[in-house]
Amino acid sequence: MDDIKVERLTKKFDEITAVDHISFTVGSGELFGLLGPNGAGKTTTLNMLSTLLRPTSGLAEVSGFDVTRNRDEVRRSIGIVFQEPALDSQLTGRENLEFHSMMYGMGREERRKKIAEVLALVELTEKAGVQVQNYSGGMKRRLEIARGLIHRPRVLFLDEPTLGLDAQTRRHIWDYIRKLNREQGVTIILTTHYMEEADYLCRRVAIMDHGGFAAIDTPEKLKELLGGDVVSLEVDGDLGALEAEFRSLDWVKKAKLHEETFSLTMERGDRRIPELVSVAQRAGVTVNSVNLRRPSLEDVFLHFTGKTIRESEASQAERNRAMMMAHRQRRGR
Amino acid sequence: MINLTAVYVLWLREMKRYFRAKSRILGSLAIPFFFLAFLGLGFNRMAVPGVAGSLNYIRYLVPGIVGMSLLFQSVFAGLSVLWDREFGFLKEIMVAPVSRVSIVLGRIAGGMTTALVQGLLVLAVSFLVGFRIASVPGILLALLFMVLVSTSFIGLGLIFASRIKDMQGYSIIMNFVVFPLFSCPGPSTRSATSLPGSGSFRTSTR
Repeated sequence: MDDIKVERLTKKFDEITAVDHISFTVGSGELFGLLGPNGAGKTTTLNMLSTLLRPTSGLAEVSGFDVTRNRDEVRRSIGIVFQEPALDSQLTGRENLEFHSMMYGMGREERRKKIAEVLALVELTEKAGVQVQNYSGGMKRRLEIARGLIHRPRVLFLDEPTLGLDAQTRRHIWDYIRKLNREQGVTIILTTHYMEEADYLCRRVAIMDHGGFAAIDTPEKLKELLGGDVVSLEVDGDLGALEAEFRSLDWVKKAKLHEETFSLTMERGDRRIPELVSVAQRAGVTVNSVNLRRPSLEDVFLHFTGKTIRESEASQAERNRAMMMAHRQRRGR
Repeated sequence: MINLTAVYVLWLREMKRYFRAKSRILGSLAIPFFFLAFLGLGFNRMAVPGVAGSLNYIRYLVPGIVGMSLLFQSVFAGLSVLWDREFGFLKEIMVAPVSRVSIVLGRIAGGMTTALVQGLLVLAVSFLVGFRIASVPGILLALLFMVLVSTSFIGLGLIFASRIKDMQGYSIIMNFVVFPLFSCPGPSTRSATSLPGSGSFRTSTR
């Protein structure tokens, strides 16, 4: 059973196409990631799935309900943690949770029980009576995640759940998210532009760039597409001969020489290192250092979009600026 | 269709916010108070054209000032939607599985209560400058009109707030709506002074 079904979903703002004919499904109990730079269309996609935005065209269903025709049913079955904080800072943590659970029509007894439960989950029980304006960034984030869970949603959307948090809090939140998915069976869709986050958490990842999907698969499969591990050898001696030697090995997929360092792409690099060293020794070359790197999603992103995620963000910012200038000129006329 | 719990919880939130912001309560009392003190005491001896000679100017002025604070408080209710948008809380409200009608009603209920509290506080302050209530049925009728005035202006504020996304734009447009209303002596003070309970049923006829 699929909890999310999206077909050719599109959102246009004036001439700008924020989301461009994307299609995907997310199974029940799956942890699915939308990975991409800022401005790729991740948040717009979530906003359409959570009924905050109407799609321009295409179909989207959340737990079997259409997001444009059955908005109330969709709203009832989802929880969402927004990218920007969405708490009332003049209310206490508990009051924010009370507000939420009453909006979702929970009874007094159930409310009391669930609020205590989620507060314990995010370790905010002691701070529940404090006004949210006195919370730290991490505490606010945790409170929001707690709020997203009170009404036991089938599907939970997390929009950049760890954006701007310190490493320790991020780890904490990752563990909550995993626990939630495993123990409670909540279907989770999260967006992120942190590679390691998608890698660590998601069972499947869609790589998003300029409103469309560049690739969609498990992180492992995506990484395999790159041809395996990269072994770097820093050497001294007759480099030309060694390069020819490396190229003749059929399990070396790619061999590149940059100054005195060879970068070799191969599968199971860890098992091939001894062999590589002995090949080098036979060719009379000294190996000074060996480095094995497993491809990260960062490499995958680079592979599919031809840019690193940071470059892509920079060009997006440029695009936005150009768009704004054009807009101003048009208005000026 | 109308979810009473949602209306109640939105109202409750507004109450908590209002009574926690002491500066907001005191600050919004300051302007009516100065109006009363300076205008009221200053013009007390003057004969206002169209107002019967026997009528004390304070009695003529207080309902107008109450009306004015209702008006400003109601505009504030619309502005709070924009604040919620700015601070993200509006999204939390909008994804909730309640009808949009309940959300609007909750907003109106909350805004109306704060406006009413504010109006009554102004009325209390006006006792300091010598205002007196004429009759009990009169004050009840005045309350009814206060509810009507604030409800309709909150409604108007919400219409604008749901269309206009930026706060400055909203303030400018609402000023444009509100300011003539409260500064034109003819229609505005007439409607305000027709608030019964002040004892000034007679207003300028020109």
